[in-house]
Amino acid sequence: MSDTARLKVVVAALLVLPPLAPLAHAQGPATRSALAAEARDEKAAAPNGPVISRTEKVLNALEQGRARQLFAPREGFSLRIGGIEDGSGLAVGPRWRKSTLVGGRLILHGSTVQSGRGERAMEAGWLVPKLGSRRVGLAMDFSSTHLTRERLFQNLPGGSRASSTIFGVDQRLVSGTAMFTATAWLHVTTRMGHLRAASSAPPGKSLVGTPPPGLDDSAAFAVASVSATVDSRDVPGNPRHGGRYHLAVERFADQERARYSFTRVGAELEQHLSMLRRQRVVTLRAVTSLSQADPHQAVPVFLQPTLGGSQVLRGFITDRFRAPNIMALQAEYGWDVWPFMGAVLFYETGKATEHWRQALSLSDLRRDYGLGFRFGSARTVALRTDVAFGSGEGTRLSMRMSHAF
Amino acid sequence: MRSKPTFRALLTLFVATASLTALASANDALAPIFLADDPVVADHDTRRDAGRAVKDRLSGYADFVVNLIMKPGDRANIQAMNVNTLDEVPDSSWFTNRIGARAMTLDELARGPNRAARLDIDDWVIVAGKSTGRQAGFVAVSASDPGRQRYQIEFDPKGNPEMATGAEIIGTAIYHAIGFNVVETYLVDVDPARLSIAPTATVGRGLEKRRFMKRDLEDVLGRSAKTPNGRYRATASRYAEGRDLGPFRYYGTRPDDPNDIYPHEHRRELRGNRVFCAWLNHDDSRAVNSLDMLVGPDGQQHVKHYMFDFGSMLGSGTNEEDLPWVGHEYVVEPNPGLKTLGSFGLWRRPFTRVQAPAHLPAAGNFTADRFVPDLWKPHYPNAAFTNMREDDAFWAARIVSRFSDEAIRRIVETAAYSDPAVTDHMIGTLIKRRDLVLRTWLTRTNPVAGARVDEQGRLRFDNAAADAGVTEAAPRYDVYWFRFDNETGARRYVAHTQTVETATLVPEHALAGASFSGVEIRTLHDAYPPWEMPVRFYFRGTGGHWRPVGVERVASTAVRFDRTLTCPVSEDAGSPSDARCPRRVATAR
Repeated sequence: MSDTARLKVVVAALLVLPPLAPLAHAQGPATRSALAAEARDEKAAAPNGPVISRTEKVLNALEQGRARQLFAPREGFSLRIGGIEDGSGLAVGPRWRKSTLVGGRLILHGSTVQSGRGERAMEAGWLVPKLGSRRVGLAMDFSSTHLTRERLFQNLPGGSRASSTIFGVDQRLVSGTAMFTATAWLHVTTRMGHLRAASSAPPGKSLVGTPPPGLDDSAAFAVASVSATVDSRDVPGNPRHGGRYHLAVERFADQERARYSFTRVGAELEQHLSMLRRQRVVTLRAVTSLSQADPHQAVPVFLQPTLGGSQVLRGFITDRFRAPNIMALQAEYGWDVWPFMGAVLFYETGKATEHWRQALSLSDLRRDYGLGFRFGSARTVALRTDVAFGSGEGTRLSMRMSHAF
Repeated sequence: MRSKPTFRALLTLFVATASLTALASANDALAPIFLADDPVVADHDTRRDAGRAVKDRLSGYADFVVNLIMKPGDRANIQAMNVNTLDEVPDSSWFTNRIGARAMTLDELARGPNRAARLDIDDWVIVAGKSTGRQAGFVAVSASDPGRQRYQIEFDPKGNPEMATGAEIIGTAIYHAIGFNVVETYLVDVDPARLSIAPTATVGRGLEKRRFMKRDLEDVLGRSAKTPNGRYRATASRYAEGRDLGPFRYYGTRPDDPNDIYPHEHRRELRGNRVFCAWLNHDDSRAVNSLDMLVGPDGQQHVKHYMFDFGSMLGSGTNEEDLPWVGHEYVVEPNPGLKTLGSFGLWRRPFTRVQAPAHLPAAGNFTADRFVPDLWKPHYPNAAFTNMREDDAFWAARIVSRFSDEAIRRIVETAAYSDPAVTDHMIGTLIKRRDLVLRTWLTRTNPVAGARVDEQGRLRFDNAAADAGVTEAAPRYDVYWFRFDNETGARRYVAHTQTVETATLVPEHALAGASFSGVEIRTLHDAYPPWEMPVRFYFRGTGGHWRPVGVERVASTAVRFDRTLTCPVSEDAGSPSDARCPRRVATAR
């Protein structure tokens, strides 16, 4: 609306108002309705089209799914952006997804990404999340990863980052998965597959002491696992209440030379306690992964779990601790600042050990603590950033587009 | 797409100029104050063809960011622009006076906009997925309807059965009774076995548009609360007639609608909506939950303005119960946020102390605990809400006062909660919040209203606060009669009386021969000093009777009148003295 038109509106409006002042002219329409009609006639004579600001256009486009169409469409081709794993750098590549058959329940998917550091990953497969009574789901997947910057820190007393080396890992996994939803809160998953993995140490690097098992070696495994999850969290994407208890047993059977067969038991226990109308949340979490190699065999280095990075022991560099067994305890106190932003204080401790019994003791723990911010909504954490101190290895900043747990 | 800030400067300049001109030219030949058709009861805003109007594709993000950061619209402290000389809202394409203007039966209130008592459709055919909003649902038609009338079907979230649908039903009925245009909304029971998907049904927008498949239906039902009989309770909202023009905004006017001449932030019904929203905790009262429809035959089309989507009011947050901050803070409140951050969460915001209903999932977070009506806030600073003044609030609160306990009970019962405890809680909470609203906004300003002269020649008026039962009757009213010159606007005070009743004799002898007269009423009450601010009622002499023609409240004149005119000093014998005028003349917030 032009300023002139606005002025006309104001004039008309003032005339419609109660008798606050006499009209400033003697001539003109004799009725209130005629005055309003005059203003409308004038507006009709000079119609204006919508003028939409650039900011509004951008925001409209965002909500109308343009960004989602590019990065995460429900169907078709899109762009996959993100790290392959902690420390792999920014990776980009195409992604494809299609729902078809069985009433659209069969989902075909595939993607491949490459990072600036030369690491790459691809995956393809199909998924039927709900079959029959909707309690059963099936999936078949093929995945391949080529990692060039896996870190290995040798577990010398008072181990330092100077003793690290870099090695590469190639893995190809074909697996079939069956998921069973027993109740709304109990899920059981079984998986069987074949894994081929190899690691390669960069030339010219010498290791202190005995090289870890599997370094610069390859193996093929038959893989089987079964896991159960009890999940009573109120909002999985940003929980305030409830817990998640996950137990998994995995068997890796070396099919070629009987050197690297082992069994692994993993557990994650997570409980959220809220107060002050869910504006404050205390989260307690325990994570462990315990491995038992078959007699005269070992857990290969490329299948050993790690601590350090953006998830567990955030005060340490990614993969800072690598061993067949790990254990970590985490505590977080979070408070809402605004509906889209929260803050947390955290403390965490943990260790990686060669023997599973050592992992279950509370001695020789490494620790850190810190402060973080969460951005998102009540239902999800879109971005988090944590600053960790107290590790003895410097202050570390991490940013991820996901919740810590 | 709306007004620029220069409008405010222009408006201020104009108001100042107009006032000065009016005073300076008091003796010149002037047009009358009250025109022949005052007070107008209908604003004929449907007579210009608006057929060239195009859809406003305002998104939720833009609606939110623009209102939160850019503060659009004119924020001048002026009286609402679309009120008539009685300070009421004429009927228009926006608003139809209902419960505020006439008696409505309980059945009428409960039925709301619905033309049928119930919707008997068992076999739904899905024709589209939902394109807006987070609530689980789809668009469907009746399998046996050759006209294929569309309905939007929406379900309750799994964790809160009956919550969102209950809010939708109650909100629709109350907003209809208030006077807004709302779409017909029915409570329905959907049998999943009798749902079918039209071969042409689609879901998604733009490049994401694709066929609606069985999996999509499973997703919708998987997120929805199932009733014990295996069916799904839902609301069916009938698509409004006409062409969808998108939402209206709470500021500016539609540039492409010649009938839309009053800036929305200065419309009385939109400003007063803040009172209704506070009462009903309608925090989601954003522009995107409004709707403009182009209706009428070609060449004579006009825009009809709707309020819709009430699933996120009362205690409902649509997909979950309302979050604790809702109604207490805007999404961004710098000060409390920084205090919370800096104290590591040890400083408690007031809303964390609110006692929410326990074990009533269908009620969500609906409570009257710590409800302070004038501190209530929607999601973002809405321009019309921000502009609300005490006269706007008084108008709205009088409408709220007409919802009796029985009316509230009847409306809540239409939500058909399966748990009687929920019904009782909703009724009790609505009544408590209503009383708080009335106590807040009927007592801020002199509550006399509705002055009229009866057949026996007695002046009668109402004390809205006393009538609503939120305070005892005022002990004394000072009544000043004046003759009014409709050509110059001059008042000549001719009589004064005091009364303890809301009725007194008209001094006919003193008003004899006058074409216009008026009465200025001050209410004297120890507990409410602001009630001394006068309210002036104007009458037109017609056939030996005095007909109400105008009302002037101090709040209405705070900006446009200077203090002298608000509290006239010795204009004539018998006028109020300066000492009687309260110091705080302007009631600007």
